[in-house]
Amino acid sequence: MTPLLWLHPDCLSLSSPAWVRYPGAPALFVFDEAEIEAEQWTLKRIAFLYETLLELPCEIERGSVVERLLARRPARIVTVGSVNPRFRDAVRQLERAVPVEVLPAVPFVDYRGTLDLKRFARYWKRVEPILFDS
Amino acid sequence: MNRDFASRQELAAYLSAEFPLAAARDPQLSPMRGGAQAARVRLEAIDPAKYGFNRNYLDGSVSRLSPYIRHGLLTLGEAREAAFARVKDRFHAAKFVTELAWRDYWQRLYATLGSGVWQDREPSKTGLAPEAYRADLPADIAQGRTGLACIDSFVTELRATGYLHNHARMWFAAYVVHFRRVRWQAGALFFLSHLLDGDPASNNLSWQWVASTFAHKPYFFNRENLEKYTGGTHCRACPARGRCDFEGSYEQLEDRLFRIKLT
Repeated sequence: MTPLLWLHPDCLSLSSPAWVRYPGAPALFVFDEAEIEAEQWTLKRIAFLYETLLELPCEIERGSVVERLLARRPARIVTVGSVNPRFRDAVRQLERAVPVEVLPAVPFVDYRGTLDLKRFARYWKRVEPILFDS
Repeated sequence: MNRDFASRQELAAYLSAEFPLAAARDPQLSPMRGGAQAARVRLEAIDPAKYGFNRNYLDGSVSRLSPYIRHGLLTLGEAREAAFARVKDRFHAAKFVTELAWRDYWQRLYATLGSGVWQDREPSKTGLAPEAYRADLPADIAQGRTGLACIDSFVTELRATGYLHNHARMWFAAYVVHFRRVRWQAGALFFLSHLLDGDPASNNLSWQWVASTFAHKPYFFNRENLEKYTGGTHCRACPARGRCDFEGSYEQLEDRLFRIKLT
């Protein structure tokens, strides 16, 4: 059962885990009009993303992300994780209607444990050795 | 939506029609192009060793990879490996990799804060009450008509390209928040509106670092600092030359801008 790949602004690469796992699956990107208005995007950003999408084997729509994805009546949806709260909200809404598989993005630092994020210096003290030794 | 365009002009016209509100805010397209091919060209051009010692200068060897990393065309790991491959000793890529780590740090904070990135992380360290800051961005700043050559130049560049050197971002943010006393959120939204790499975490938390709601003290600068890292380009032609807001020592500016002694 081929899933529908959901592309979003954090994962626009053919090397993303979703395409690696499901090569050839149909893919959809939706310009989120609510996000564009909330962040007051200008045409530059939209064109930059559009040029990126034109190099990818996907369809492009605009509107409500959840509505446009569900309008395709997918059996299931696969995407790559994001920490953007809009993404998390959309996943929660989609999951009420269809199974959603969220693949983890490739981590920059493979740190086992809890990082202290109070200040960058505290984070850096932990991750620097990993970044330079691995 | 359409996928076939004969030219970039045709794409621009199509997008203007499809996204009229975004086009009304600013219809320009950036000379920086989207796409994996453009990302690869940028990645092959990085010089992490030079970046290590000249990155604070506006003509320094900055990579301009941020729009591609922001949108997942490149991973931070790919950028790190490319940097290591270009130096004899990994130490020579240290500054470059540190900046990549800042992106990772902001994203990790975003995972815990969510939309809280729009709220002050901590009280301001300026000694000024929140009411001292106006809520909206003054029109002369947004339109690049302050009469300060540096600030107006940064706005023009931001609007035309969707990109600003990090040091210019810091100067601009300090001008907006401390010299004009505008709430950092108004400046952050202006940047999100125009930056190709606009990301609420990296952007807003950096504004908070300047404002001192996510730092031990506010970031500010004087003309001497700006002149040094810009080669004096803006100051030479500035109508406010010799009497601009940024004249003076750090101690003098501190007295003028804040209500507490920082040192």
